[in-house]
Amino acid sequence: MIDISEDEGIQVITPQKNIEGDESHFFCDVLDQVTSSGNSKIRLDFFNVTRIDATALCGLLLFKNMTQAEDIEMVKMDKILSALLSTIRIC
Amino acid sequence: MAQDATMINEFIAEAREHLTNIENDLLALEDKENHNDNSIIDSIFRSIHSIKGSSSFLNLKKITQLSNNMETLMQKCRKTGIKETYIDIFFKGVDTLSQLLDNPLETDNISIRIICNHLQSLIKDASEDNNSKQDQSDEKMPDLKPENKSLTMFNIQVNQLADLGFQFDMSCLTDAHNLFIIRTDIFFIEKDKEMSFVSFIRDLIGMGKIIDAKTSGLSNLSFSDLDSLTHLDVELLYETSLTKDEMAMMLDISDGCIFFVEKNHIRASDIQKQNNQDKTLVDKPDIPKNPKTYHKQKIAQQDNRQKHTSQDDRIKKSNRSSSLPKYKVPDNDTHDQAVLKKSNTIKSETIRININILDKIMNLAGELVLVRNQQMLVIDRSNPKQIDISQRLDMVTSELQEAIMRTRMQPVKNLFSRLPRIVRDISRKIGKSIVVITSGEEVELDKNILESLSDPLIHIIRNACDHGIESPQVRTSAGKPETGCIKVHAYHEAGQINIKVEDDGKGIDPEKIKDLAIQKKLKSEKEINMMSSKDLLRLIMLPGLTTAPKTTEISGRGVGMDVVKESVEQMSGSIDLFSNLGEGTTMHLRLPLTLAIIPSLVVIVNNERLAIPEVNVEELVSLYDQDIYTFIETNGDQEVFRLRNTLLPLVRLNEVLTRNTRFTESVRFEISEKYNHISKQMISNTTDDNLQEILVFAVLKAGNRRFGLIVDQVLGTEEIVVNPLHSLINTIKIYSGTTIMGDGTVALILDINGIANHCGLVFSNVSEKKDDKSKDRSQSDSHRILLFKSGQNEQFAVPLLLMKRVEIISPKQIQEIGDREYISIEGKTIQVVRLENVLNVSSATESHRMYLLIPKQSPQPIGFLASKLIDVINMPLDLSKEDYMEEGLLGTALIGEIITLFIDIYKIIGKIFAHFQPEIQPEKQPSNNQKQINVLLVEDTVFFRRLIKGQLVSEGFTVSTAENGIEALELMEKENFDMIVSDIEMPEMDGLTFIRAVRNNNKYKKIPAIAVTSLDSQEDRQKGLDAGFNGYQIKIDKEKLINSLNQLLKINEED
Repeated sequence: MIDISEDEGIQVITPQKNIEGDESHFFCDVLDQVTSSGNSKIRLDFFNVTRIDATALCGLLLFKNMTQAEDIEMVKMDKILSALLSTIRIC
Repeated sequence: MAQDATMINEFIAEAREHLTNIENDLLALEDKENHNDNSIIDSIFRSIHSIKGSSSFLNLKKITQLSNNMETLMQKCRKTGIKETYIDIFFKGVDTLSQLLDNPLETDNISIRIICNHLQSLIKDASEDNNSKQDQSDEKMPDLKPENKSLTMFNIQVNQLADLGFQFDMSCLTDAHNLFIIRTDIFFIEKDKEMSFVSFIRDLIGMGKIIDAKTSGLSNLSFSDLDSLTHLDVELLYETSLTKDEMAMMLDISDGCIFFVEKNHIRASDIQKQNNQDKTLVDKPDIPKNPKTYHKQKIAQQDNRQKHTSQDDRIKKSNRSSSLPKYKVPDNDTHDQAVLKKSNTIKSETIRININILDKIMNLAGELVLVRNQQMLVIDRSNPKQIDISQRLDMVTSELQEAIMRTRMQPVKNLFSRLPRIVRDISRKIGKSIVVITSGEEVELDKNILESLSDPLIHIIRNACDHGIESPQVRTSAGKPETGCIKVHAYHEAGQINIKVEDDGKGIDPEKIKDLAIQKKLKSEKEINMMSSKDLLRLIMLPGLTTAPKTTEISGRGVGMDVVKESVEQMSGSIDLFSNLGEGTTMHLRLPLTLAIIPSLVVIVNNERLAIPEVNVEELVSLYDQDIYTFIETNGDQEVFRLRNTLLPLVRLNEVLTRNTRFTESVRFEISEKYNHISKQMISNTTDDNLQEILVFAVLKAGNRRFGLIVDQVLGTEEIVVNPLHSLINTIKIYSGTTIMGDGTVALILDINGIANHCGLVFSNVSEKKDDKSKDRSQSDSHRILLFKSGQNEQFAVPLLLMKRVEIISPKQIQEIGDREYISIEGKTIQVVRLENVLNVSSATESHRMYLLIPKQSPQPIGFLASKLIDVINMPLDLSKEDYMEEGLLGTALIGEIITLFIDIYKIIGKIFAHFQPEIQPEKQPSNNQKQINVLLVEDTVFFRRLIKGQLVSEGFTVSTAENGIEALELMEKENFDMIVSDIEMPEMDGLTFIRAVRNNNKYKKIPAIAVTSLDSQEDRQKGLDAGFNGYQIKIDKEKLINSLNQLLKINEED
């Protein structure tokens, strides 16, 4: 389950559990939709997430690379993951 | 790497804690129900991982290698669950790690090859298992060999990195560290290593720092391609102090994925060039050089196992290209901030301190106690300012001493937690099924004692497993459960720590011990025959005596229990043994809380001051005049005193101090003859009137054995600082240490066990049998009763619970005023009550020394006059009203074939004060408009039932009684009550259960109830109130009870 809502103009994506297996494919679909929606403010809330698999990680890297959004917040995210997303460059 | 001793010590302490956790978790996993409990597996994984990380940092290769293998296998278990065979190998791993931790810098003599091979074969098996379970359609793992990839150079120059697409700031590189490129596939990591890529990165950060990271596999992909994506290479530029091989081992990846980067070609121009690129990828070095920082990180890691720690700071945002959106790394992540704040608080709450510093502080506190004692002696008592300062010094010293003592206290849990593992290993080895149940783990002991206790306790447990618990077949045929049980319980009692080890095994056969002791010539037949069954059991603590039919590698050599006894006694403790054949054995260890500063009784013998530890002192007995020569008897070769119907062996300390060898039978005989002769002479030459002598002896306990130690004089009690004995005298076993007294002189501290052994005391069957008999009685029914005489004929008794104190008086001090008598004691006037004036008994016998028994509660101070104190005994208060009864008596009981009258203190007080104080009526009658209050009194003891009933009736209440909760509930069904007064400790159904039953019944819910009990701790009080009592009163304060009753009735009426 991934909750998608809007909060004062910010599109909020809230996965409800760890993003692994089928959930990660669903998560990538959601990221795809969000990327295409052209929303400029996006918040990904990882409050319910402690683990993500390789597919979801790829999805996040791709999202980071493709999105045109001006303001992306990633809240309650594992700090290692957060730093990793910041560090890895897609060449 | 240069090793910092502090860091190594911190690592050892932490690693040991982790090993203890791992052991406990493994034991929990062993339970079949928990085999697949991932939370336990995760916990073990984290502990092993922490050991691996720290050891790697400290370059402790063997520990790193072994823990890495263990971690890998545990990682496999995360998916498959743990197999029983794995648990054994993990235990072996833990043992080996523990060995390695003994001296982590010198591990050459410890081989880990076999265990590592074993672990690796299991890892391989587990991988195959996993693979077979995986979907066959899974694509083949990508080949990560470098020759198949674009990056083909094994040794790359640092100035080539930019060409390879890496972006970094050269000034951030550390010359001393190695630089690598690690190429890894995030899908491969997930499938083969069964760990997420994030965890992999976390491992990397634990060992070095990531300078840069890049991937090219996503550049031309869309989200829809991710469904079929099965590999994605990521290249990491990584700096670490580890070598390539170590990294391959630590990360469990092929060394073909790791490429060394040579730094030699770093030139100033390169650095300048890089600086110009304005790329600040990382800011701080990852592995701190400062041990303190390292320590903080460690604490944070421990405290936030579930959360990620400040390590995240180590990977920093690289400067994104301007095309990228504004990306907020969770600075506004309040949740994580909270976690960090919490960890900061925890950090400041604990600190590891070298034990040497604590020892030094403890010694200084000891010195301060001495100075305080000296200062107390020289203080000018007429100077109030000095007295004030002195009192404050006394108070602060005591508090300081207590606080410092607390720093050394550790919970016995640290020791108890090792027992399940020991029992598990032994039971497997000998094919028995044994469980160990521990309780009281929160009880704290001085660190030194706890450490010294370890070996004796483990020995006792091993013995219980090997000799005590029977094989499953034997147990089944004996009607016992197949699984044997060893209970280990720790608790505080009388300023000592008690540890009981009980097993439900076959017990010890005293007859067997008897035969063995004679056969091995450890004791003579005569000595054996004089021994009680308990003393016979104690013989197993003699060197060389074992009841085990054969010697095993666990026990049975007859060496051990003597060492256990010696170790416990060295700690100023004692050990007792109880065993019932076929039912089990109990070992009871009593230990002092601390050995550093102890309260002691200071005595004088031969003009020398000596200290007796107070934990050994049970009571002091004084004999006066003629009694000195008539009450001490001789039993064989030993002087004895009949104390409350128990023969108490007596030791004359002056004789002990003058004889430096252990007493033989002839020495004991010589001493008893000598004093017997003196007694005879004194009795024949003197009359009662011309003797003015006093003999004092302290009743001392060494375990459950008691003896009297006759001294010349008792000076009082004092807190003393224990110093070790000088090597010249530490072979003399009657001393346990020395201390410096307040006046600066040195005093020796007596070793009570040592004295008992030195004198070869025999604790006769007579005394033991009496003890057994008294123990058989229910403790809740037994009360301490003071027996005394007033006149020639009658023997009286009164429970000590009701007495405030006993004063020795001279009849000359008594003054007559009108028809009453008074005496002045310490400025207070006390009315003297002669029993013949209130009861139909004979007149008090006058002698130059008489006694005044002052009761606890009385409207005005009074004292009952007694001519002689006979004894204090423990007995159940089963009183008869049939034999002899009159007002002022509670009843009678036969004590030593003498009819003893139990006086009803409150009735007598009522009688006396009714005489001149009309407002205190023995019985109040309710007025016409006042409702009759029906009280249900639940009390099992006849004495208290009668006493409290009398108190309530005298206040105008109507009282019905029940002996326990069940009876009370039955009575409540038949009658209506306005109020309940109940005892707590009762047979059948106790007061707490009773009141809970009352509160659960809607009909009785609102009846006010008061507990009247002798359990006076705050905890007991809270338990009572929690159970449903509205009030809680300690027996037997009449005034408070009545006040409490009236208050509750008032509240109830208002409601």
